[in-house]
Amino acid sequence: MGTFETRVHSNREVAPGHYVLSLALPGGYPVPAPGQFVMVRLGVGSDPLLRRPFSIHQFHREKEGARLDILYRVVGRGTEIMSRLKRDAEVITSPPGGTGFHIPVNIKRICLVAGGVGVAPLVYLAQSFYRERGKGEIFSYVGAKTERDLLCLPELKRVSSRLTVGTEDGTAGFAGLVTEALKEDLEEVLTDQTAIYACGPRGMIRALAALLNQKPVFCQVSMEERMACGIGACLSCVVALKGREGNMYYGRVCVDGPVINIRHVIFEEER
Amino acid sequence: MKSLPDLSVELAGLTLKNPVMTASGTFGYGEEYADYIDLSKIGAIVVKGLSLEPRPGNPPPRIVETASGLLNTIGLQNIGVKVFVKEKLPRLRRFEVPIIANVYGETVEEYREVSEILTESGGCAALEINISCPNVKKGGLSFGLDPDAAAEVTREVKRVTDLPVVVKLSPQVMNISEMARAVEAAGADAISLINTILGMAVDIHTRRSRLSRVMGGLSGPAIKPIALRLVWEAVRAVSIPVIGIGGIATAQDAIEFLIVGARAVQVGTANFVDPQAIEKIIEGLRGYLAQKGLGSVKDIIGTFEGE
Repeated sequence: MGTFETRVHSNREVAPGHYVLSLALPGGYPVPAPGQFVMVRLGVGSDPLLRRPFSIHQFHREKEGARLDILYRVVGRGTEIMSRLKRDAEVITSPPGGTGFHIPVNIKRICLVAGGVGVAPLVYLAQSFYRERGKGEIFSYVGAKTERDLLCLPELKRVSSRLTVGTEDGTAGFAGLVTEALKEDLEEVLTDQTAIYACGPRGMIRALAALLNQKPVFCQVSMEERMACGIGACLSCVVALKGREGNMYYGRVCVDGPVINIRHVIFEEER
Repeated sequence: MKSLPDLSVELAGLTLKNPVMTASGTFGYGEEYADYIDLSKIGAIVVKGLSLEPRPGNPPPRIVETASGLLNTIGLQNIGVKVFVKEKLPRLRRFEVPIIANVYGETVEEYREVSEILTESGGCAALEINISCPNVKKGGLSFGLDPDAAAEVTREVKRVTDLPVVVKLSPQVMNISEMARAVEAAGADAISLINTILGMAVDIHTRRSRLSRVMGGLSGPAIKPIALRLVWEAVRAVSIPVIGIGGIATAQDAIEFLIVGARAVQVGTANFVDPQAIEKIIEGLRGYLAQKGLGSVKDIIGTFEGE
């Protein structure tokens, strides 16, 4: 089980510079856990060379095979090439990799904190939680730089008990960082049955870590780093993490993550 | 029906079922790939460089992609030789593939101690001495730029091991033949080359390096022509076997190295692009020999016809 030949079902721009690539998967493709990622090969030659990792945004079983969606922002050569993929183009895709989100059994409310395109894996998490634990509550905090970069609001609205939107420039919702919006509601959001799941820019994760510093709440974040092999061998995609004895070590986003307990993340200023 | 071409090669006292190995640093400790590829089909597995004590490696970002290439500054993150011998090696031995341990030291003593531990533990088919890693402050490349220092490391390692010793050379030298001859004279049983080539990439917005260090080691298809030339020069300089490394991604790439005289090859960055790359290269090599009506891979090794 190395790679799968998949086909582009659709590839549409959902916001300026942001696309959803929908891949038609063959039967036998494993069902991913929310928070897992796939490696996508964008050409057959040597340029671009490496596969690119993307978190799984949506996944649906179909009559034959399945559909997997990737929500991505065009940031470089790889994603630029990706944005030009047409329907039926062949895309070599890895099976789902990495460690996904964990929802402890006692959790009745999940609070999602998304920054920009970081909302991608949280939508799949929210939909799974909604389907499997219908009685649970979902509080979603979605932030972006500006209104037109806000992503997935309809999808999240459908499953969320509460949806809070924030923009840094104040063009929609709360004016400021999404973590500041959460801070205002924090006492109300947190119960002993609440867990927090976040994905976004490093600054957002750092602010969230500071916000939750003294709070006894379970919080996982999906991390990102440049990746080469995607299977734990090359040691490229490392992030500084706290070991059991408080020691610092470099953990691999691809197998030790991408989902990591926020209390294990070491931020630059702590090194 | 004609029998399949024979891919086996003799290398420094070892018989390999085929001449295609993994390159150190690109295949972890082997088991990472066990879900993707039948490890017993590989000629030999060269594991990630091992130092005496664990090394944390360099901070991220550790890689950046360049045109048909990959710049890395991993910095030899590894679990240390003692943990390798205790935890990884017993698991790897189940796969019935020769294990070549890659040895790194900051000092000659460290090279010797790591080699000693690996020899005493049993389970390794050979040692590859890494005097060519460009991403560490001490040791590594500093031994790989000076023929006298390279010879000293080789001699010291040879003193403490009865395993075949492969010395992995850097391309960052003016005269590869001199370096190859120096380690041969010091007792190396084989040489492997090339390690990565120092390179840079700059973020034009921040004007900073795109890596956490200013320089990184370049690998991938971009370096293949340079590697092929250096291997050709090394083959002519020494009589011990030469293992060709550098940008091999397809069977054709591997065959080019064999033709210029490499006894075996190592596949590195290509493992990242496709975890089954090695298997495809081995099959491609077999297909090429069959198509040419050749009975053995030895029929192409060192058959370069020049201009």
